[in-house]
Amino acid sequence: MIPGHRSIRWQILGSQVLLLIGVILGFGTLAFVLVRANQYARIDAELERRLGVVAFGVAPKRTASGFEVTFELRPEEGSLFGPETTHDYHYRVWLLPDDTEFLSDNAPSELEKPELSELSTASRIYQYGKRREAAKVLIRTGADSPRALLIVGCDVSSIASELARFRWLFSAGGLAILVLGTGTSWWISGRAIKPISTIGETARNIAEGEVSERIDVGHVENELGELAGVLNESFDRLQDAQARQAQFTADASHELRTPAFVILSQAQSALRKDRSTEEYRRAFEICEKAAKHIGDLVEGLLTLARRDSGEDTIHHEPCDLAAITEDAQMLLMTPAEKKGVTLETNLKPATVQGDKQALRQLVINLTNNAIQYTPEGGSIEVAVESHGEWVHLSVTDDGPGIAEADLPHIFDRFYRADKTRTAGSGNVGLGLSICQMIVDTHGGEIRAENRADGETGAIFRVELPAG
Amino acid sequence: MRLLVVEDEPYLLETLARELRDEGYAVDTADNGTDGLTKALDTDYDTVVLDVMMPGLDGWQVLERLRLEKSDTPVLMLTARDAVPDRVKGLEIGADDYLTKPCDLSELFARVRSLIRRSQDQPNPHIEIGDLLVDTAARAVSRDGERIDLTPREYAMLEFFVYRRGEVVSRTMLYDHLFDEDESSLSNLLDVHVCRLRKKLGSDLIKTRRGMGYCLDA
Repeated sequence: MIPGHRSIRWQILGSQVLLLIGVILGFGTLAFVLVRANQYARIDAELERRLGVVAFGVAPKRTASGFEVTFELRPEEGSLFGPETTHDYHYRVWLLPDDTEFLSDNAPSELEKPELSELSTASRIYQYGKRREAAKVLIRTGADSPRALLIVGCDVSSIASELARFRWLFSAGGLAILVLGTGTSWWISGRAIKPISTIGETARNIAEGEVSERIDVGHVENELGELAGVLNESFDRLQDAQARQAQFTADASHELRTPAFVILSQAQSALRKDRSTEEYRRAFEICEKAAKHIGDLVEGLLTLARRDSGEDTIHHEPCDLAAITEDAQMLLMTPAEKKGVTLETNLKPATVQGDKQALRQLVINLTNNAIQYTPEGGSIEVAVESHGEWVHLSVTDDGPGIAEADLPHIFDRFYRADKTRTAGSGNVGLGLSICQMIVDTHGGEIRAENRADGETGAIFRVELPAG
Repeated sequence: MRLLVVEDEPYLLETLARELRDEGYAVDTADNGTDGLTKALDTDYDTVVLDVMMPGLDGWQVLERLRLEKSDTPVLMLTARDAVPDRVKGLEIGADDYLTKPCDLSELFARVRSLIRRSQDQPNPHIEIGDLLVDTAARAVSRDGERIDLTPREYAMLEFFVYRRGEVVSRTMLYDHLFDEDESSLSNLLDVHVCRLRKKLGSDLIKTRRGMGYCLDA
């Protein structure tokens, strides 16, 4: 598993947890603020109501010296104040202008009297520690001078503790949601990532040599399933290529072993005891042929390997296939004469886009193959002709033709129609494979067939795009 | 001892046959599977050296068909394919040994000798006949630690008698196992070799059983 910030799973989880924390904090703070405001609004409304009650307590009263403004609450009004009330409501009243003070029994003594100038007829809220007060000025009817300063207050510590309880509850709930959310997110991201780990594990196993292993895509039907499908196809192709490469290597080493054994046995045989000059000569001749065979084989293998690996690039240039063929025939005259085979050409100028060296090898290999399979006294015709967008090259012989069973395999590497593995035959079983490869790299087509004109013999036809 | 070599590479066939003849074996050759199978079924070879990759019948097929009729002919498979499945296949079909090309001729000879010893139920290469010691691994004979020089053909004949000591060996058996297909069985080569062996090893070693053949006393 990839640790820390580089893991997709951790990234998903991290962002989801951050988002969750943000949402919980935001909503929680909002809810807390609203609840607190609501609580204080309720208390303030109660204080307002009691201010009104206290205001009614300020009234003129007949005394011996006439009317005198005084403060007095009726008993049912007085029961709104005192330590036994829910919030320990108190009042403080000063009658003006004499500043006669009336305090309820539970009025805290440490509270200051607010400055008159700060107040108005509208109530104003003060908060002193755990006590909250509403204060206002009572105006004498018909005059502008203040009549009394009224204050009612209460103990809000119960509200504070309720808010603290709410805060704690909310934190616990938020934490629970966070844990739950994180867990769910971990689980979901794990499920989403699982196919990726499966793919990674399979790819690792394949890299370690379990080439036949495939990603199990049975139930995954999302983008990752599609990816797994694509990867499986690629793995199939890779395994196929690897198998072909392994087969080719095995075939190549097998093909090299027999001529190597010929050389080894000849040398050991010659060295075991004294031989006549004739015997030594024979041993060297056989060694020479086997060594040449090995040389041809290695050259053919290298040609194929270079093209396979793309190391050897084809230089495309316009060239006349007829001229190339004519040039190649010069080289082939000697082996043809040796075999007693007549070589005829029927060449008409035809330009193709291609690599001169490669095309020359194509012609030589095809003609050599024909010489190989044509008995003494036979004849071979090499023809080049232009047909519109294509240039046709054909090599026709009058040998025994190709057996039906051999036709599908004739271009396979190391496939030989006569199957004899003679070191001196000059036939290493790669010539036609190289032809096929050259034609493929030129974007053309090659095929082998038996003559249909009543004669026996084989025809190799090559079609190349005209240049 | 008479061997059959089946190999499609002509130079290899030529060399192997020549070298095995130099070792004193009678050697028949076949350059394809079909001929090889025919010869192997016709004659009781003491060992068949069989190439695997051949046109026509390949080595596996030859071995399979040979085993249907003859289970006791020792077969040494000679092949360029050395992957383990190939070796296992060869041994399971009934090959007695397996050798990968290219190999040393000396190793090939050693394996042929070993196969012959095993098929004659004589796993010990040192055999004592009276005061005579026959070393089938070194293909040498000695008396009282002193080596007796024998030609390969003479040695081969002695070995044949030694493996069948106490038994009567007919002239036909000797011809079948000591001479290859190209040598005429009408010749008196056999008598010449018996005569030479008696001269070198003592006249009473190989006894003539009139009308039956020869016998080497244990």
